[in-house]
Amino acid sequence: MKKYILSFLLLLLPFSVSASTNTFERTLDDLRVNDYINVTDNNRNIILNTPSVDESEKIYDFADLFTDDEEEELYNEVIDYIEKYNMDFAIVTINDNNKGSAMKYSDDFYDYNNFGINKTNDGILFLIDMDTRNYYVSTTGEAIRVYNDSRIDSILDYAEYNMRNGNYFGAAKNVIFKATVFASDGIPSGNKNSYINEHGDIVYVKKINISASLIASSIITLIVMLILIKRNKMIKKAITADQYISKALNLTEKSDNFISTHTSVTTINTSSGSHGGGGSSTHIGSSGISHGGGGRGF
Amino acid sequence: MAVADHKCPSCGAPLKFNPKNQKFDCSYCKSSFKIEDLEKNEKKYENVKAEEAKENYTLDLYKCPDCGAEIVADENTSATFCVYCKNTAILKNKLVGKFEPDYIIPFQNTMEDATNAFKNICKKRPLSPKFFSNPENIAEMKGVYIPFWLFECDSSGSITANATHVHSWTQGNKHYTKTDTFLCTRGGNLKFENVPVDGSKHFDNAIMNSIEPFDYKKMVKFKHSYLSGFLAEKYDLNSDETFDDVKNRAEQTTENSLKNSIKGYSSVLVTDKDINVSKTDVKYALLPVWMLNVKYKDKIYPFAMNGTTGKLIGNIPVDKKKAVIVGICIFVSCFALFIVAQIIAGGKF
Repeated sequence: MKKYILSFLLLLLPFSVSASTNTFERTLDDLRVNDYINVTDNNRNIILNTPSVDESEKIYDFADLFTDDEEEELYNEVIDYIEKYNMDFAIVTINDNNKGSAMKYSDDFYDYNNFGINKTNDGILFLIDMDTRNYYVSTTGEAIRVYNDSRIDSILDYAEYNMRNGNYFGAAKNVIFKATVFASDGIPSGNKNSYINEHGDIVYVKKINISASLIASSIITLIVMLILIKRNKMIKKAITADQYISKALNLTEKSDNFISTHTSVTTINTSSGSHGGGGSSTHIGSSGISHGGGGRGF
Repeated sequence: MAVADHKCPSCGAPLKFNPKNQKFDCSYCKSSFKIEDLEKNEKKYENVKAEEAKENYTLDLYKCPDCGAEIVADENTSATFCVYCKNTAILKNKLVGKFEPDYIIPFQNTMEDATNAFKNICKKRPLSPKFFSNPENIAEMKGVYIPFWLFECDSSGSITANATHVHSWTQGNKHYTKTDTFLCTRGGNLKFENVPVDGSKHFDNAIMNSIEPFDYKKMVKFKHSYLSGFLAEKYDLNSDETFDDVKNRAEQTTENSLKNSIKGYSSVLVTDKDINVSKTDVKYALLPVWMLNVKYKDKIYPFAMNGTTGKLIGNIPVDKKKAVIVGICIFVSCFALFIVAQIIAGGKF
């Protein structure tokens, strides 16, 4: 009965205090996570320590960095993004990071709430962590393919100025803007031959190179044909008399004089990444789901 | 009249040299004799006359009015056409003067061996027209003793070369390549023996070069009796006229030997050479060659087989239809192999 009242009150909460962010209580009996999350002894406590929110709110300003108007503006932009690109978008600010790193917090917040669109939970999350003073962009599902490492860097670069100057609303707008630009650009070339598997991992597909195979086959055919044609021509003029040597070379003169030396230096280019410099690096969160992304301090 | 041949001691018929057993066979009474036995035998009966016979034996000389080739055969072996230009209107005369080569290598293989070698010549040569794998298509085949000059020469000289020693290493993200250049000089001498060059104008030297080497271990003092059953050609290029060819070969070998003595370098480039080849001796020898001619699409394709080693050479034309088919097969199988390899490696279309 008590539990019933509590849940009823919790349901009322969003309507009563609209400015602040509402959370729901997780209990061991009701972890409030999606069915596809594999709850283990290792991540049960982590889940309990992750706030449960209404995933439709999109802006979770726990650190109270935005005004109500700002929140509404960000919300509208985020909703536009979600509708246009069919990927989820959430912005989170926190004063207290109970998970140690911005990356872990972002991943857990995303995974243990019902974020993400489609089977692969496609979406992007932007976290401002006032505790560790880090800001972080986390990608999931198709968003891993869209936002490769260099695009993540570019987003972080774009927001860095505002982050360092305490203009968190501006930084959030920067992130949405850049994310929108990249989403409209589509999948970067380095990630074209990839897909997201059922575990949320990005899998790079080796493409069969037909044109290279054609060229290599032509070259081999040409060489073999030349050898075969040459085989039919057995009449050759002899240019040496090696087999008629009756007394082998008697060396009477031998000198080796050093003339010059020359040293050339070339700089080795360390090639960047195996996917044309456009790949996405990923890591696995406590939920077992893969995420891409990156962050930095401010 | 003395004859070039030995006569059968049993029935008196002329004997023919048989390369198979290196004996003289009698085609009438089927006996065969070693040359030593025959000579002993002859000496017994003819004694002094035998010596005379050697000086005055009768050989026929066939002269081709077309190409000028002079073919020698004993009186029991007739040439019906010119072995070089196929002219059948060849003129038969008695040989006047001497035909005394120093040495001869008797035929070690038979016409049958040559036929068999021809049967196998298209093996591993898939672009050959089918026509060339059938020995029935051999238009003519003749065993001919070709006049050869065998040169003995001394070669001496020196070369100058630029040699480089390249050493490379990596330090940090820099790759260093150090090239040391040396000026190398090498001088020396070497000797050559029995470098063969044919004394016939009618032959492309390349054909004779291609069937080398001849087995000199089988070389014996010339005896006209070895000619029986075969044709021989008189040389029409004297040894001086052919020496340039030998000289060039000996020079090249000398240069290579000197160059090979520059060891331990990454590259060797000869910049200057001074090599002298001088002949010290020359022998006149008849070397055995099976000449085969194949007439294909109105063109004659000459083949030659070394009469000692059985090495058969010739230029076989390329069958265009076969070439296209073989080319397509190679291309398709290569392409399939590449695609399959990529699929095995996890590639997707």
